[in-house]
Formats: sequence, structure tokens, C-alpha cells
Amino acid sequence: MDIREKISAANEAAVHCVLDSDPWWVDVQPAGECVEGLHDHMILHSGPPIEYEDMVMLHRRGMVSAMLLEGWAKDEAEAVARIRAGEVKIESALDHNTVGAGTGIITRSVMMNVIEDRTSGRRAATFPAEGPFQGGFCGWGLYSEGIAENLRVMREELFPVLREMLIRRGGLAIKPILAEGMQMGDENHTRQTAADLLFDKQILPDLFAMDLPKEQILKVVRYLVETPRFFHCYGQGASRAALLAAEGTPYATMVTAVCGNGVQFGIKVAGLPGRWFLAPAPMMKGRYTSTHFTQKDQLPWIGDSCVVECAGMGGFAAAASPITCNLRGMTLSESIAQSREMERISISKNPAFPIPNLDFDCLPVGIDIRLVLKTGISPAIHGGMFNYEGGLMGAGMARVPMECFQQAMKAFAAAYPQ
Amino acid sequence: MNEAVGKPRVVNLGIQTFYDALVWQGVECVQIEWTPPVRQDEETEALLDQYL
Repeated sequence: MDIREKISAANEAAVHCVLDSDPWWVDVQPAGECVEGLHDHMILHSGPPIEYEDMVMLHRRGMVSAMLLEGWAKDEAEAVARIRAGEVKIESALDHNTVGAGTGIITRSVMMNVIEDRTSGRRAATFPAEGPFQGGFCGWGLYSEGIAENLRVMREELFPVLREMLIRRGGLAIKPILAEGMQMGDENHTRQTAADLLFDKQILPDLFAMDLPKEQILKVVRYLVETPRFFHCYGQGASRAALLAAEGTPYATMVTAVCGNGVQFGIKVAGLPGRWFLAPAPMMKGRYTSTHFTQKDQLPWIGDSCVVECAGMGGFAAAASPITCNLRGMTLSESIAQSREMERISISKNPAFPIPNLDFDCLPVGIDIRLVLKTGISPAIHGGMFNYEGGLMGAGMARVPMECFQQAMKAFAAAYPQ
Repeated sequence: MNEAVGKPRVVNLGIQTFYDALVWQGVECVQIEWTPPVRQDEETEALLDQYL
């Protein structure tokens, strides 16, 4: 086989890790038990690796929040001093089997959903939205007495019930919910309106069948139904588990992660495991939630949630969700054109995701760094816009910087010479 | 329009908006998808020749 044939075969194998994946929600556990390599006195964050001193305020604040939550410092001054003294290890979430949505602050005591790809056996863990605090500690890097109490409630009252329910029913299949949700207007990054309802429909009967006091069950139910985009973490977990199976496929030029830390943006490539290819983090274009916001308030891309784009959802699934694209002024035909454009940089199509607006053609999947460079088409990634002070200020789209792919191609050639 | 030449028949290369505008005006038109070739730096171009 020549090099092109080797790459082609490797990409076919890598993309089949996504196509053949069978993700199930199988457990809820503290991050210390389900995130591989997450030790005591370690904090994970979103985006490529970054030093504390180089972090944007949201990440720095998240580091302090983590120190306070875990009891590793009694106040902010002590937390910063201990971080600067190197007493905690700070690593990228995507260098572990997890995903750091938003700021992606993860420490050992945070409760996580465990998603297992039953085809490969790979497991990924993702943190859930924090009920009334939504992004809260993990997503927005915030800490307060209220947030700490809410995390305790999730850990001690809500998740034990969900875990028991989950074990009784033998897990929950994720892919059918993703697939049906995308036929009902979700693209499974910015919008999970349909998936949330489908998820509730699956598990509510099992929750109400539990031999527990009514108030205890209702507390869990309220948490589920009152948390917007609750299903988002499951889509991310399903994507991450599948992409973990693809990581390390020799000769594969398929992208397995795209993410930002508010300063830099990074991608990972299946055939170059453990390597990051970096460029300045891009700005999103979209619509703000208030006319008071301007671009000066907006943070460059932060977060790992675009792992779903690597698995053929979000920006690749624009055609499934014109309602999401319309938030930034796009028409139905422009939404369809976005998915068609993504086909040109994709290795395959996912037969699990036929889309009515594409006349039931299937969504593209598997970003090939070579096709990105050849066409000049950069992956479209959907997401929420953060402002510098913290909190969401809108939703929109960005393009992955071309420089990441140029670096990756050069590194690939060095690793796999002809 | 010159009567001797007749109605224009157009082949539009690339930008879809031009095609849409002509069709809206009742002009017979064929659209061909085309974008200018993308130029990367020389090293990347050479690698794409070898690896794609």
C-alpha cells in the first residue's frame, strides 16, 4: 500500500469508531473514580493545556473555585498562592477521558455521567448542567455557598437516585435520542430541546417506579426538567467515547478534538495521539442576548463542547436545525448549505443521522485535515458565547483556525514519512 | 439586448447569488459550483500532493 492508501484505510477505521459506536449512559460517579488519571490535588480545564498565569479570568477564577470547593485553600489569596507554588497539577480535560464544556473545571468530587461505547468498551465522563446554576462550577468556573450546596445536593441526593434507576434499567442508549432529536430540530450542540424531552420520556417512568418517598423522586424530576439543555452532556460523552476509540489509529488524519481555552485553540488528530496543534482562539459570530453587549465583551472561544462537531453534530448538523442557525440570521437553505459544505471536508456520512431537510441524506462525519487544507473550508463549530466577566452572552458559530491544520499536516508528514 | 443575438443564455461559475439574481430576472442560466483553488504555503502544498 502506498501512503495515500494507508491513510485512506486508517481514516475508514477511525471514522467507523464513530459510525459503529453504541454509546450508553451506564453510571454516575465522582470524577475521581471515572476520569482516568484525575488524582488528588489536580484540576482539569477546557481547551489545550495552559499555565495559570496565561489563563483568562474565567479559567483563573475556576482554578480558585476548585481549590475552595475541594478544601485545598480557605480563601482566594491562599488558593492563588498554592496554585502559584505548584501545589496543584493543572491539566487539559481532553488529555483525559472527559470533556470540559465551557471553562471545564473538573476535580475529583464533581459528579459525572459515565458514557460507555458498548462497541469499543471505551468510557467517557461528562459533568451535567448544575440545575438552577446551569453552568455553575464546572461550566462557568463559579463558586459560592449556593453552588457548593447545589453540588452537594447533586452528589448526595440526586445522583444516588439516578444511579439506582440507571442500574435497574441496565443503562440508557444515547444514540437513538441523538438521532431522533436531530429529526426534530436539534443539532445537538446549541439545541437539545427535542433530546431533553425524549430523554425525560425514557427515564421518568423508571424514576416514578422507584420505591422512594414521592418528594425525593420529585426533587430529581424537577432537577431534570428544569435544567435547560440537560442532554448536552450526554451528546458530548457519546462523542468523546467514540473519538477516544479512534485516537491512536496509525496513519489516520481524522480530527478527534477541537477546543479552546479563551487564548489558544487546539486540535488533535487520530494518527498523532497526545499531540496538540495550536493557533489563537477565534471569535464567534452570532447573536447576543442583550443589546448592551458588544464584541469587546466577548471572550475568544472557550470550551471543549465542539467535540460533538468531531462526531458529526453541531455545525455539521446545521441542516437538521435551521431554527438554531436562524438565531444568527441564517435561512433554511443556508443551514442546508452549511452541512453540505462540511461534507467536503468529511470522511464519511453517518447512516444513523438521516435528515429530513437533506431529503433524508445523512450528515457528514469525520474531519480530514487534508481535505480542510485542500478545500480551504474550515470546520464550522456552534456554541455559546462567553463574556470576559463570565456567563453566557449569546450563541453563534466560529471556524477552526486553518493554522491548526497546517501544523498538524506538517507533524503528520514528519511522523509518517513516505 | 441585440435582437440578432437573442436572449442571453448564461453559465455562471461560482457565486450562487449571481445565478439566483439572473434566474429571478427570467434569464436562462446554468450554475456550476466552483471556487478559486486554495493556496496554502509551499510546504503544505507539497505535502498535500504527496498525502492526498
